[in-house]
Amino acid sequence: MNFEALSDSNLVEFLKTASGPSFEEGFRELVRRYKNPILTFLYRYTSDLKTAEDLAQECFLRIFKKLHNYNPTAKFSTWIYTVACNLAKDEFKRRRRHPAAPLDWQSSVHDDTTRNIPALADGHNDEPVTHAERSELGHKVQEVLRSLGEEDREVLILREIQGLKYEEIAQVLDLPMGTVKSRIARARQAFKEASKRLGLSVDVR
Amino acid sequence: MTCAEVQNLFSEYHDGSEDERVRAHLASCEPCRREYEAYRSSLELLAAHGRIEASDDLEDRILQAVLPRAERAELLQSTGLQREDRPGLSPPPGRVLPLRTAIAAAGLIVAAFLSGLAVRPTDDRTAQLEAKIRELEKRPPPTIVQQNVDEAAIAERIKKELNLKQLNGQYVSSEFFENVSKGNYFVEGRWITPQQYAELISRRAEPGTTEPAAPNLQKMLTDAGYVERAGIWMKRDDAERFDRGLFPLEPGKWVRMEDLQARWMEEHNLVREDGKVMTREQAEEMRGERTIRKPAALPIENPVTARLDGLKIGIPRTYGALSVYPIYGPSSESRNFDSLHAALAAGTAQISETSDTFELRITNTGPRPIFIPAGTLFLGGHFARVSRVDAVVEGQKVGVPVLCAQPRELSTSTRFSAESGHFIAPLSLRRQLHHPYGQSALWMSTQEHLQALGIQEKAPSINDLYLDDAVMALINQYLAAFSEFVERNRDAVGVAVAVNDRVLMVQIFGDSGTLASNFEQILCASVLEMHLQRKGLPSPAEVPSVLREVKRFIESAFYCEYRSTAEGYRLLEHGEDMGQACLFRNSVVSITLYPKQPERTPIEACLAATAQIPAKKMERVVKDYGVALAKVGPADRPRLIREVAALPSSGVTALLLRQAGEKDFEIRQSALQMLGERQDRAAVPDLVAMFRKSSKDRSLFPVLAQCLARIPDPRCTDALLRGLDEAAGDQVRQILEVLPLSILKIKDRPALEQAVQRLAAYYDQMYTAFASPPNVLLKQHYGDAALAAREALRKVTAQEFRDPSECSAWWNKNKDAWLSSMTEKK
Repeated sequence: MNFEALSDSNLVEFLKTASGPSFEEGFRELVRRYKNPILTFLYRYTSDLKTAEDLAQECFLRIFKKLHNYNPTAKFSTWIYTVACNLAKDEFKRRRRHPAAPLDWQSSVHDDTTRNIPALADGHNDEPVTHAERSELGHKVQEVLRSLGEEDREVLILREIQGLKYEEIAQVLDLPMGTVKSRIARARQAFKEASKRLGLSVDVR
Repeated sequence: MTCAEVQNLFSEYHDGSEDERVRAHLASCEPCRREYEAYRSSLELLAAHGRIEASDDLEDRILQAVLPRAERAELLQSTGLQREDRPGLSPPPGRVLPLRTAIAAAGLIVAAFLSGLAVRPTDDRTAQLEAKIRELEKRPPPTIVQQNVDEAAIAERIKKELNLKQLNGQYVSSEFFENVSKGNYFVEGRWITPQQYAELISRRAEPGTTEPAAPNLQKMLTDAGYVERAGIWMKRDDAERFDRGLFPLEPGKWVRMEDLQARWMEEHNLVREDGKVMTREQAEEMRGERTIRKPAALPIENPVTARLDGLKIGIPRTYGALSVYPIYGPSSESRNFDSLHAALAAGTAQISETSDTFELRITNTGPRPIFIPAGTLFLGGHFARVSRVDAVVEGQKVGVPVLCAQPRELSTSTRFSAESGHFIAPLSLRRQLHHPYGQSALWMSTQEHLQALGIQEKAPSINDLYLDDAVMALINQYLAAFSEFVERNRDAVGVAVAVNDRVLMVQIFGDSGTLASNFEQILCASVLEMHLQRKGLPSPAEVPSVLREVKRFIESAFYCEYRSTAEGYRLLEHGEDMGQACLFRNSVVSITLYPKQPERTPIEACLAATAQIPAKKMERVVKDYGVALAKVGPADRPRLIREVAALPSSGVTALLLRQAGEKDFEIRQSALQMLGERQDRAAVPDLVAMFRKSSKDRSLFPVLAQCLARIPDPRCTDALLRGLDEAAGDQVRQILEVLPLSILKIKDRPALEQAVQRLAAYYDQMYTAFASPPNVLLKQHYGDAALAAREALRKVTAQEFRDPSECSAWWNKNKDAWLSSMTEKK
């Protein structure tokens, strides 16, 4: 069977009834399609590759467990992002509750009144660029993202990196369209400001 | 447009809004243009450099986490279980080792079947055997025990995985099966054909013998220590194993199917819960759903809550619309008494009949006392009987008062059986026993039920409910359907009974034996209840599970109010009875819970409805109450007083009057209240005398005044009016508050006239005294009295008076008309 030709929803429909080796092949295809976007989302969100990989695994496990509940009227990508997003948020909450866990991305905890960039002099700047980062710029992007709030970060990842449409983001985050629009506007502004401060943006003068 | 406004529109502009205003502004404003450039380029950088790529191991990791689960889900599906769908952050399971690899020696399985010689006997038997095998294979697995269905599926699965075949109901490897079917023999470690075997035999023939004797196989094999098992010859040891259900998987390794199943389940992370196979997660969830948990912050701690905590609700047995949920829990071991059931089992109790039909003698030779709760059924002897009271048998012979019961053979012809009603009553009637008007409420409900069944003209007897042949047939049908319930749920200490989706009752005992001896009663009562409720309703196709409701219902008992009684506790929820607990020496004997009580019936309805109970029966019941009242402590007497008051018997009034003369105020109060509610004029002389003497008893006086006012008798009105003249302070007000009630009950015209005139005169007297009091202190008193009298007059005449003169003017003018209207109306 040529799984590559199948659309997401057809693939999932197939997986619902498949078993044995054909299930394995089909699911492998699904993982191939989404491992990069999901890992990207989770990594950009958590700033920690190991955590992101664990969460990505969990994400696919959840997708598997809920496969038979999948409703083909919803877009598969929206669904998987929703799952990933919830996982990331849960993980964030868990870490906040248990500060004993590594606080790699604790630095981005902020409240809405102060948008100051937290001091990053905690050694993260010297962190070697992971193999996942293709460039120095990628690392810089991460630094800027980490300096933003969760809300800003998630919409930026979904919109700018993953290229989701506004209505898809609204579905993933379960928010009204208006809120999504204003959040994106705010997040972009914040990203620009942070880029300037952290020396990411190219000066076009 | 200002620069700030423009910058606010950057986001939309960036998304391609084509906003002319923004474009124009950017064209003309250098700082904004630069700002937008920075905006755009930063986002482009994000888009261009934001993505990362997963390493190759990630894909493998994900698949490794998912696929074993997929395999497991598939297995579950094939065994008829649901796909696991519980989300959770459980770690990926370790790689599941398939059974196939676990016994990699599968290739050896066959060769090792018999470490010696297996021989197929004659060819014609082969066909026979095969036919038999086919027959056996066709036979469906036994499904009488419903819990085993899933296990059969697992056995089927294992059979497939290991490629096992069934031979005479035993599992064997397929290679063995094939060889045996072909008629091959297993000799000296290998399978050979009959021809080869013949050659072997002839080669072994003794030299010199030209013609080998026709081999007598059977004799040879028997001599060599082989036995035959359904057409197969095997060594004696192996035959024994074979008989025990073992079969060989590897050389010398005999296994049992059950062991394989257990191992298979372990490998697939499955467990058995309540006889069903499921994943660990499902089992945990189920255990949580089924276990009664005491809330952590529980204000009440008592033997009842301790008993309820940790009970587990089992799989229900459902038949028709009736579901009975077994409730499992430990039998209370620490208690310092035995149940009759336990004592009989241990041989330390003996029951014998006495010359009195209504007494059984119970002898206890055990070290601990035996507690026999009321309602215990004794079968055998001349009659089946139920115990009437809670009895303790301690180291000697004790006569236990009983009533005769004829369970399942009820007829009105045996007068005894008609009296044991409570204990075999349908649940709604049993519940009436908790009604404040006890026995009467029970009779009344019975009558209602009888009417519903079309039996009307009889004095209510619960047995009449069972009279209908159809009812008995129904009960017998259910008794048969549930005949194995107790046997199958040996650990059950209680049951929850539900009809369709409604929980009718939960009863929990101290030990499983007591449940066993009570179960039939509960079932009969439930079926009757169902019959009464379901009249004309079709039986539903599918009975919904009320597990959650049962759990919630039992757990609600943690929050109810516990009121101590002689038996143990009464459980109240928002003041409504929800059940009772019977305790003995601080150990739970039984806990009974009912859903919300029906509306309380007023006493008048009880009195009216039970008026036709035969006088003799009534007398006996009243006498019982008299005995009970003498026995119980003051705390329980008000309840008994309320119960007995609802019996329409003349003896009750005397009984209540006696109670009204007690010392304890609570008892006097409830007795007097009930005398007032009964409105029995026979009590009037005594009550009047009591009222006269009570002027010094500040708390009793208003109760008596109220009691007198409720009884429609001129003597009561007279007593109250006279009391008015003698009373002072609060007592005046207390009398005047109830006096109108009494006056308005008068049916006799002259008496009514006189009463109103006396009240009017009192008003006048007080009003005059108020106008010119002997001293300032009394002015207040007269004023209050006058106002209260005016209010009383208003209640009687429905007229507002400003002063006594207005009152007398109205009275003189309208007296005749008013009196006629009042007396005629009545």
